[in-house]
Amino acid sequence: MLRYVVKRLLLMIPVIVGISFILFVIMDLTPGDPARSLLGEYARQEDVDALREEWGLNDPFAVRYGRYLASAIRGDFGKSYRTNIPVVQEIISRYPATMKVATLAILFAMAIGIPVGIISAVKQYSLVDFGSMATALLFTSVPPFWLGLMLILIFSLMLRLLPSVGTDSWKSFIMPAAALAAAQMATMTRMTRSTMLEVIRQDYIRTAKAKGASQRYVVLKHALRNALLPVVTVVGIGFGNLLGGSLIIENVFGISGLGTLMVNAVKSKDSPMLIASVMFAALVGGLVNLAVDVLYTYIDPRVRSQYVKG
Amino acid sequence: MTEQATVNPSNPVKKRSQLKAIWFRYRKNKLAMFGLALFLSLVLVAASSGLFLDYDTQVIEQRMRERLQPPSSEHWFGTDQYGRDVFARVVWGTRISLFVGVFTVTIALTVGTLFGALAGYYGGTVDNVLMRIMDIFLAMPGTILAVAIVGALGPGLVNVLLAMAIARIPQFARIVRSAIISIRGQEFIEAAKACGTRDGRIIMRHILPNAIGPIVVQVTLHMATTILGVAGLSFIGLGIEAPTPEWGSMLSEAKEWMRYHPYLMVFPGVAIILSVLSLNLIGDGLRDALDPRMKN
Amino acid sequence: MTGPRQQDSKFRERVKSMKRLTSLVAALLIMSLFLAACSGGATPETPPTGLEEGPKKDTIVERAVADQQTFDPFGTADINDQRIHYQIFDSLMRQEPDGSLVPALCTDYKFNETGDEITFTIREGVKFHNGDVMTADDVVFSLNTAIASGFTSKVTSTMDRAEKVDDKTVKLILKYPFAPILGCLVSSSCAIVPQKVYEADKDAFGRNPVGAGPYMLKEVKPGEKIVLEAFSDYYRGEAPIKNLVVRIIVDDAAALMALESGELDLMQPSQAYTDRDAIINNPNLVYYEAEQACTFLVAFNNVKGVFTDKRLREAVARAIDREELILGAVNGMATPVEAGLVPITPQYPHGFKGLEYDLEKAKQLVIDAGYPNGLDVTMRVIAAANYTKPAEVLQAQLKKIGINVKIEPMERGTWFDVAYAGGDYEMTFYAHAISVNDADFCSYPFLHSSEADGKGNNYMGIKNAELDECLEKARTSQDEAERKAYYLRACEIIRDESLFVPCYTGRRTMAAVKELKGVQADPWMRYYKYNYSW
Repeated sequence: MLRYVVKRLLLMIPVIVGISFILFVIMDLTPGDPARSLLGEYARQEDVDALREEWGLNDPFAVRYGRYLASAIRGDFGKSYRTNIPVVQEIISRYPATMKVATLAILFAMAIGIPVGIISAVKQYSLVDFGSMATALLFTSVPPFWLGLMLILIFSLMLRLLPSVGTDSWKSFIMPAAALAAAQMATMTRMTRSTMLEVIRQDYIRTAKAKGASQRYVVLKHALRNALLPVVTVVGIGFGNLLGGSLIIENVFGISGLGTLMVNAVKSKDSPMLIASVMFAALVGGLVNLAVDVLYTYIDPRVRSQYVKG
Repeated sequence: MTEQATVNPSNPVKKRSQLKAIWFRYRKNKLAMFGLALFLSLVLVAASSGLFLDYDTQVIEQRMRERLQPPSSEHWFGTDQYGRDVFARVVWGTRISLFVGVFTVTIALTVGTLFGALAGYYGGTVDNVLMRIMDIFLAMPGTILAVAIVGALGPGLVNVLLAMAIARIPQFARIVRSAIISIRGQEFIEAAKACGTRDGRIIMRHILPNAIGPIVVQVTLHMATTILGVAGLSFIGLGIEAPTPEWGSMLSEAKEWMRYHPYLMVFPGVAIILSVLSLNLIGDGLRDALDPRMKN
Repeated sequence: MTGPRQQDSKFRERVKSMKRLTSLVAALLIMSLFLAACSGGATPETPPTGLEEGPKKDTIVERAVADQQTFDPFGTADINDQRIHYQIFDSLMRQEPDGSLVPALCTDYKFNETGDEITFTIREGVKFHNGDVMTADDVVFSLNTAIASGFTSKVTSTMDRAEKVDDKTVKLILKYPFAPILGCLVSSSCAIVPQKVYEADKDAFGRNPVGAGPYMLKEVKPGEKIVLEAFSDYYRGEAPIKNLVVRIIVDDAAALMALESGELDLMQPSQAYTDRDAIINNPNLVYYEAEQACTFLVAFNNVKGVFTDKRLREAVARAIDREELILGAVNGMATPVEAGLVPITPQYPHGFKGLEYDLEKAKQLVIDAGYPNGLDVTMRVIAAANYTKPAEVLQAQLKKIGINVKIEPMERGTWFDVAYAGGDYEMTFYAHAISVNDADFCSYPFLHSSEADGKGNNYMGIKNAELDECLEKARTSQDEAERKAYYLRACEIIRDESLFVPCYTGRRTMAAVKELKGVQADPWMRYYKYNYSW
């Protein structure tokens, strides 16, 4: 098991390095000059040149990338072109907001998706089932940013119940999380429903029922346990999606999290910031996936035996 | 019966009957049929909008004196901040979104299939190298990758299309690869190899047609996510250039008027939902129809 | 023709009927979309009330649109950063609420006879936030650091160097006589900083600034807020407002809601001017307006491309309907400008008429220029609403005379690099801004031939001998009437040659709760919170 985890962690390294390379290339192709962008319209050309020299922007691509890698290995990911603050520091200060929204969204999605999925499965072909499946389909088709705007319109502008932006209280996270959660909630509902249906038909459930166990007991004790496995996967994948999806939601709700940081970095050609933050997002995504895989083995003994073999 | 069909893929009669069976199963799915009907009507709207709308005088011409009017019999969806008719723009936007959806997926599919087929068929080093590169792309949040590419290429229809396509290549590569790996070992491929058929021919004639099921499903679902993605990019100002009536950019413009003219917000949003919903329904229906075991 | 005001009242009626529709839509949405979410505990029990408890009469909460990039006054050219610098740092000069310039950290200043040297007597006993007393060395160091910095050239480009005369006297030497120099010294880019602290660690200074201004930095929470507190040893006495909380709220609509609910005391409202009526109609709020210190204009590339042909430039000038442009671009909240200067400058020729709006003539000019079937041009603009929105209106207006404009929005830095500094554009929409209230600032740098070809700010590549002469004479003349005459002539040349098309000047706005005193809208966004009180 430990060997497996270590192997997976080691495999992440080339991916992260690859990301830095790809983004380095993309940012290199992007027109515009971060030095001029920072110095403003009235800057003298010599000042712009001096700053470019200071940042080492005048060296050839290979030299710049090599230098970046060399210092990244030593843990130095550079300073932001825009704020002159070490990018790692900036990422650490921005990350909690994004994390909170994503976590809350997953919690929303689970809190609603799993029970609704179970009910739909148990009452298959009922009106409830049809209704919740239709709602789920609708939710997967709603752009999160539009949903977010509609929530602002209703709950902030019209009902004045919730703050529409910022990160100062837990209330400010409700709407962004809800907007992000909608699609995940739908996936979760559908996934729970279909696995539950599969499980319900299996022999041991029938046996339990035949033995006179109550419907409720069978569903919660036997069926749900087995249905959870794919749901964990959805949580894992969903979490990764949420981190990426928060990009536009952060824009809607004015949250200065990781997504805003990335978009601004692209806009101001702040390569050190962009590369480090995308690497960071990828790292977190990778770790969550790994955690999900490890979690699998604890939920399902069959999976564990596979790892022992491999 | 599916087994029979897979073993003998180039037999046209069998193929047709397979398609028939799929269509038979699809037809029974009411939601899927609704999705198909919705999608076809959107295609119809897109195709016919050129007949009853004049782009220059009805979609993009500004009538400043008529700006920001609520919905009325004259302007069904109201007018925007430049006095343009929102109904005409939403209708015309169907063209843009469907076009972007179709072309993005076509590009991503073509390149992704190529990579996936190479990786899946040859395996070994080719597979390893290609798939590790795809892993790198997959590890990045798709939206930020698209944002960065648009940043490099500049905004505009073609560039947005390319950025979205590049961000989707790895996903198609993966699907095609796994489909191919599952087929690669089967007997009829071995047989074809034994007969000395060229690799390219085997991939094109024998493997891909059999992997088509999951690919078609992914194509529809990715068209849906592409429409959502492009709307998102346009919404943060990195999308298609003005004055093209793209739904996301219409929403972006509407945002600052949200408090005073909320109707501007509603119609483009509903248009996005309908088009994405139709594709999702079709994708789901197809998945069920292609693999009856999945259906409960 | 209806004015914006009349239209507004019409709209308000429509809005009423709209509200009914919206509540219907809302009800439907709540029911269908959010049935599930509500049961998930998404509804809060209490609506948000004012946030700080207890009497807050010595605190103001205001809004910033973005995080502070740096607190180093010489390390930024960003106007949003500078708004906080004006609270932390003082300079040699200060702008009073009435716009006049008075000595701040100096007690007296004297120009030499040729006007290219100023001698300052520095104020005695001024303390920095760390308790150190300001010395002549600090002043010399600060000025020279400002001059050397790449960020400050907007105001320091005419300065050569500063020298210490004695412990109480400092001399500033200019490159040439320059009348508006005192206005430059007001800027936070010429702030006075303690040499010891700044020199010890410039980067640390950018995070923990030490100035001689009325407020000290207390706390920074990125993405959330910046807290300043009054400096008790400030040389003019401690500020009436003891705590200054700057909350970062990116979204305009959200900020307005915060202001309405009492979470904010003060903010700059949406620059799209969409919220104006809502603020004016709110009995608890006051809306402050002032003209912007800039003129928005259509600029042509005079060096290469189609617009080297004067006929096409004139066609554009004659095809622009300023009223409509203002309506579409800034919701009607701007003043049309027809002369090529900034209207608030004392030298502006009021009543000046530009070329008459004449579509037929404009069409003919396009045909005469050799484009009977029209032509395609690209308009590169900064990707921000105050440039892209007017660009969209212009696109529609120019289409009528056969000029098909493709708008290419670029990120600010990219635009400066490619179009402004690189000269790679056909036409653009931009604003000539002044940092000092003098016509020189919106003419010479942008229009004089010596500033062209990448050497300065003449991004349009204008080279007109007569214009050059006007600008040179206006710059060095000490006679205001004479200067005005030169600038009038300059405006005529700009119009007759259609060198660019001035369009409008926008408005600086401020919204505050009505109890807050001392608030003003300032064209330069120099908001000295020292003047505020409850």
